[in-house]
Amino acid sequence: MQASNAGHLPDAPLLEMRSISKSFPGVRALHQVSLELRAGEVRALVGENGAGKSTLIKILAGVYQPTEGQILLDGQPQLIRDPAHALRLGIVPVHQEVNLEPYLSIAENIFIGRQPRNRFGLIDFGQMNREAARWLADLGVATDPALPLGMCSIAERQMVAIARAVSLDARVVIFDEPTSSLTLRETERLFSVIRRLQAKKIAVLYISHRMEEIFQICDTLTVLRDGALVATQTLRTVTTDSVIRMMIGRDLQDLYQKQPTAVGPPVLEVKQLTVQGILKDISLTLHQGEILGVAGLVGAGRTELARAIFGDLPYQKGEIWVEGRRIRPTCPDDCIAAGIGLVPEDRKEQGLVLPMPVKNNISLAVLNKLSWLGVIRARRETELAQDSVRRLAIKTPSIRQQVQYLSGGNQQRVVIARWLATHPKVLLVDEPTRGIDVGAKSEIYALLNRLASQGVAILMISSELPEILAMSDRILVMYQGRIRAELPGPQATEETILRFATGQAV
Amino acid sequence: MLTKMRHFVLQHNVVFLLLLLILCFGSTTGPLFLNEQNIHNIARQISFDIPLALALTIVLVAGGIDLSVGSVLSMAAALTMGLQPLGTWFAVGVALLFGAAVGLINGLLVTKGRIVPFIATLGTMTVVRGAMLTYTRQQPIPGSDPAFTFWGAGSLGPVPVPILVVALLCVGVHLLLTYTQFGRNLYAIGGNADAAFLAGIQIERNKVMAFVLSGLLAAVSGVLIASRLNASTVHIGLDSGLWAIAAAIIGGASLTGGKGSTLGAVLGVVTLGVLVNGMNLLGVHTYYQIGVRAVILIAVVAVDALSAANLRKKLVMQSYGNRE
Repeated sequence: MQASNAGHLPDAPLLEMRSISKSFPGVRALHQVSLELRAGEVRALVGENGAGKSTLIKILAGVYQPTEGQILLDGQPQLIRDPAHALRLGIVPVHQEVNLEPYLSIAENIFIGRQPRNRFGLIDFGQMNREAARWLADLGVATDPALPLGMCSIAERQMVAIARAVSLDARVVIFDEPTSSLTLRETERLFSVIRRLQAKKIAVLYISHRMEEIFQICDTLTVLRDGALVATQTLRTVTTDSVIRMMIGRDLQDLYQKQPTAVGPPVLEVKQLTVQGILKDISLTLHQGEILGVAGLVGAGRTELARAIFGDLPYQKGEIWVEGRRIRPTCPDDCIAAGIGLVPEDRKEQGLVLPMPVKNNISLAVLNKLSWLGVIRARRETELAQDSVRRLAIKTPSIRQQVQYLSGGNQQRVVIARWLATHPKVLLVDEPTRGIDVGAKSEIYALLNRLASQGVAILMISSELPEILAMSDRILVMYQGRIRAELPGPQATEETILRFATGQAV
Repeated sequence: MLTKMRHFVLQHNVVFLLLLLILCFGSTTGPLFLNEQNIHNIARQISFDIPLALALTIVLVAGGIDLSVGSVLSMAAALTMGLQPLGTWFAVGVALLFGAAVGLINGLLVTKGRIVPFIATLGTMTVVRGAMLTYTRQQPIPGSDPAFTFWGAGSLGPVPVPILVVALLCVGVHLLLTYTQFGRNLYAIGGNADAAFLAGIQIERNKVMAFVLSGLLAAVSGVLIASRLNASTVHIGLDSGLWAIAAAIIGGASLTGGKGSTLGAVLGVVTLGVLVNGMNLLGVHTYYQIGVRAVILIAVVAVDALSAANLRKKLVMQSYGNRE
């Protein structure tokens, strides 16, 4: 039916998944999901974390075998045996970094396993580089193919992965959250490449949490919820709100529930903070009970600002004051003592000790207070953990569960619980809802709001503009290591923030 | 209680291996293996290996490795014997201080020098071994204080003294790893150093302390062996370091850090000890024994990796199921 809506697409689907089900012992990950892809179609696949998107992709890529159902390619039933078989059939997933070799050149990565040979049976580098350059030029990329991949940005690596896919005669290309680490400009370039793939009659399956992008680049939309197909539609017939409603199965007018809080006296003052080549003359004041949003593009220096305040990045010039006392942090410990906490950008890499239990992760920053002569008082630690699990509604079978087995939203709550245990005056939160599903996001927002109303001063760094706009009392916009603008929260719009964040307005 | 036991067995696959070995040797060698004298022998033998396995467990938990323990052991034994004429306890003190000092150097090389632990301790291993050969002129050093043999060869009632000493060490290390801030810091550093740092933990200080403890425990082992033999020889400690690593890993420690326990280390040493003893009783040639031990190590690590992967999969599935 959607074929008639998207009139320019040919009628016979290139790839068809018919009533695919996948069960793991005790879990039904996918139930009777059908999906069609036509040549030249860009289809968005959306759903909350755990909705079954990854399982679906893995079945397409040959990682899993479906329990039931059929996959047809050009109308012919196909059993996709393994990832190598998927590649031979022309189904190519583009991951960001996996499958690429950082120490090999771009050309070597494109032709890995099938390098052109000269008549002595040795690799013909000249020909390989020329061919690689041609594939790249085809995508509108002018990077030198002899460069080692390790010197390329994430965006360039992605282009290399796409060039490799195209050179492999890809017929279906799968993108999984391709823009999560790209800047706006790089995203634009990715989109123009996707349009070229479209023109080559390649079908694209595009997975993303970012609604604006989906509406910008995709033709059609498939929504999964709890492993089942919810909707298959053309994008012209839906709105962001209706898509989100389909994803979560309920209305979400209270996703952001900013309550006006009484803003108190200044708690954190930063004066002319400068880090060579990264931050220039940053001054800001953060008040009790205030949420100060920090917007900007990737690379604008937002994360570095938080790290410098938290003693994790040495600064050359500037002053940091907490409640009228100057601190000179040389390590995070100093800042924790002064009442600052940091919920870092990447909770798995920087936030949590994954193999440790929930309890030990929560108590990690307050072991000093819990211990007597270096011995941890076990009962107080257990009480703290149980209390935190209850207050933050952390879903875990036990406080002894290793934190790596919790869902993203619950992991984030464990990190926040750790800092609440320190009774912070200032909480720096960096991308607090990255990789968390929509339902859990609203609970993180509610939690931050509650903290602010209890008098905690919150500095919130985020790349999601709706989040910044809805949550912030004031908004700072950073561009190339400087604060370009300070906007009052209620008056700011996405357009004004973006103008400052991209350096168009001064 | 039952779930606790299940959890323990799941975490320590080595228990199965140990029971299997005892069953095998018990049925094939009969009374030779399962008699009081032989069990005594095993116990006495492994009591000298346990301090090293504890040392390695501490360092492995913190995400490091210490190859120098074998050399430290032999040098500590040499100092204990060589300096004995100047005073038995003076000699022991110097030996222990020496171990701690090597540990301190290892720690500083790793933290201040930013050298990976494998290379740093490979270096000190070689240097200390050279120092030992120089100091002893490659000759055995006999003891001069017969009373000192009490610590390595004596018994209190039916229990060998070194076992008591080692039991105390085990309790101490267990308490340290499980109930103190220092122990917790080590698990956090080994599990995720970045996260530990951002939670206010002083990475370098704790790592240095872990290496100092490792050196100290290695020296304790050297002192006990010297007391047991009432001599030091150039051969002791030659392959102890590698076997201590094997025991710690068989006992659940991981080369990637953040994992390991005292009980695991002890079980690892006991397993290897039972294995060696059983093969001796069966008359297996020493050269074959080396191969068998290596196969066991690789098998245990492989089983561990596979079962960990399965457990992880199961738990992920469970948490996935809970969400629905």
